[in-house]
Formats: sequence, structure tokens, C-alpha cells
Amino acid sequence: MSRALVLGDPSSVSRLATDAARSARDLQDCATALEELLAPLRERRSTRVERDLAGRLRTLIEATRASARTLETFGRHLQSQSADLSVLRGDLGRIREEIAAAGLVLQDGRALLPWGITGVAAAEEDSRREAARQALQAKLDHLARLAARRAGSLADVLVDTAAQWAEVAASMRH
Amino acid sequence: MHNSEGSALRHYSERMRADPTQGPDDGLGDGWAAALADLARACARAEEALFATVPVLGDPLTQRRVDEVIDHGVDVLRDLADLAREIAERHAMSRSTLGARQSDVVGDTRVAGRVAVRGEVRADRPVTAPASPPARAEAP
Repeated sequence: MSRALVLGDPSSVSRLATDAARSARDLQDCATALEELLAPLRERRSTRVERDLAGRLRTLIEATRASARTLETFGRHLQSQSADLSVLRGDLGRIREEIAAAGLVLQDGRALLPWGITGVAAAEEDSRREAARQALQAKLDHLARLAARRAGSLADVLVDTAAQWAEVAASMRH
Repeated sequence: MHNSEGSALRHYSERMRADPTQGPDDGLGDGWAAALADLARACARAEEALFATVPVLGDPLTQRRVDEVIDHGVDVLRDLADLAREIAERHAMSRSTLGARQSDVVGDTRVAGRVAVRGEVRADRPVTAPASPPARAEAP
């Protein structure tokens, strides 16, 4: 596998996750406050103006709640992504150290023998180094698969989130 | 905002400044204005928060998708804030109009038949309230 192992920055993802979750709570609180104000209006006979305003308010409250849900889900997935990124980066750091200790280099997601004449001219040593290289490459490939799976899962979440935003936008236009 | 709406809002503001406790009952109390303003502010804060942090995800395609989702979300938040403001304005206008119908009383002269024309309140015909009852003739 030759794919470069660029895994992203967990702290920036976590910050956005936190902001999204906080915004979701804010919106949820606002929706609850509006809902409480709307409740007495439902309990009595109302004029046309009141009914019109109440209808607009209901649309607003529902769209606010839907936005809060979307932000909450988005934030939760980002937080999970951030945690996974941290683990993957930790694993990558350890593999890097092993690669360096084995006298190999990491390039584009591959553990390679360094250029030039290194070490000693001994078949045994070459064989030992190749075995180490293969073992480390297997670890790198496993890590790359996990990262790709994680990215795929995030891509699905992003598609769903985009669809939810579109739905909320449409609900306000009706 | 249209001029007529602005005029109605000014009228509403002047009335509320004069006596904030004397609002007509249009079914939606003053708590609405504050709650709607809170929502508009929450949307602005959320928009700022979403734009403030750029998440670094490593993969260019995922990165672009995240940016698109954030842009989309910000658009929705702006729509929410706009809708909240629009409702607050309608609310203010309806209160203004209903208030003029219900409570414009000057001395003994009541203004009847008031109608709202594009947010302005206009008196159609002044009528005079009954004065003190005529003195009864003394019985012989």
C-alpha cells in the first residue's frame, strides 16, 4: 500500500466537535423557550393574526430543533473521529520509532531500506532487516486500512449531515 | 425593511417606551421578542463557532466535504436567524396595529373606525362620546 499516512489533526477536529455540540445545546434551549411560550396560545381560541404567527413560530421551533439535532450528531461524530485520530497518530508514532530503530525509513506510507551503502555486507543481516521491514509494513498497512475505514465512515456522516441541512432549509421555505 | 414596516415598528417602539406595561393582547406576550432575539443571537454565535475552527482531516476529499457541510450549516443558521427576526417584526407590527385599535382615547373624544393601512394607523372618523346626561326637568 503506497498511500501516504496523513491522518489529520485531532485537536482541531475536537475543537469543532465541541463548538458544534455547544451550539446544538444553545439552539435546543432556544427552541424549548419558544415552545414554552407557544403552549398557552394553543390552549385558547385565537385570531387569524395569532394563528399565522403561531404557524410561523412552529416552523421556526421545528427548524431550530432539527438544526440542533444535526449539529449534535455532527459534533458527536467529529468527537469520535478526533479520538480515533489520536489513537491512530499514537500508533503511527510508535511504528515510526520502530522503523527508525530497524534502520529503515518511512516514505509515502512505506517502510523502505535507506538509500546508499549502510550496515554490513552480510546475508543474515539483510534477511533480518527485510523481515523487520515486512513486519513494519504490515503494521503500516493495517493502520492505513483503519484510517481509510475511519475516513469512509466520516464521509458517510458528512453526506447524511448535508442531507439533514437541506431538509431543514426546505422546511423553512414552505 | 419596507418603509411601512419601519413606520409600524417605530410606532410600536414609541408606544412601548411611553408605557411598556400597556401592550395590547395579540396572544403573544413580550417574552416572545426576547426569546426570538435570543435565538437570533444563538444562531450568530453558532455561525461564528463553526467558522472559527478549521478541522484538519488529512484527506483532501473529506476536507472539502467537511467545508461544504459547514457552509451549508451556516446558511441554515442564517435562515433561522432571519426567520426569527421576521417573526419578531410581524409580532411588533401586529401589536402596534391592535394597540392603536384598542386604546387610543383622548379626553371625551374617542377615535373610532381606525384602520391599518400598510402598517400605518389612520383615523377614519372621529366620534364624540356621550357627554354628561341631560338634566332632567324638575317635576312640578
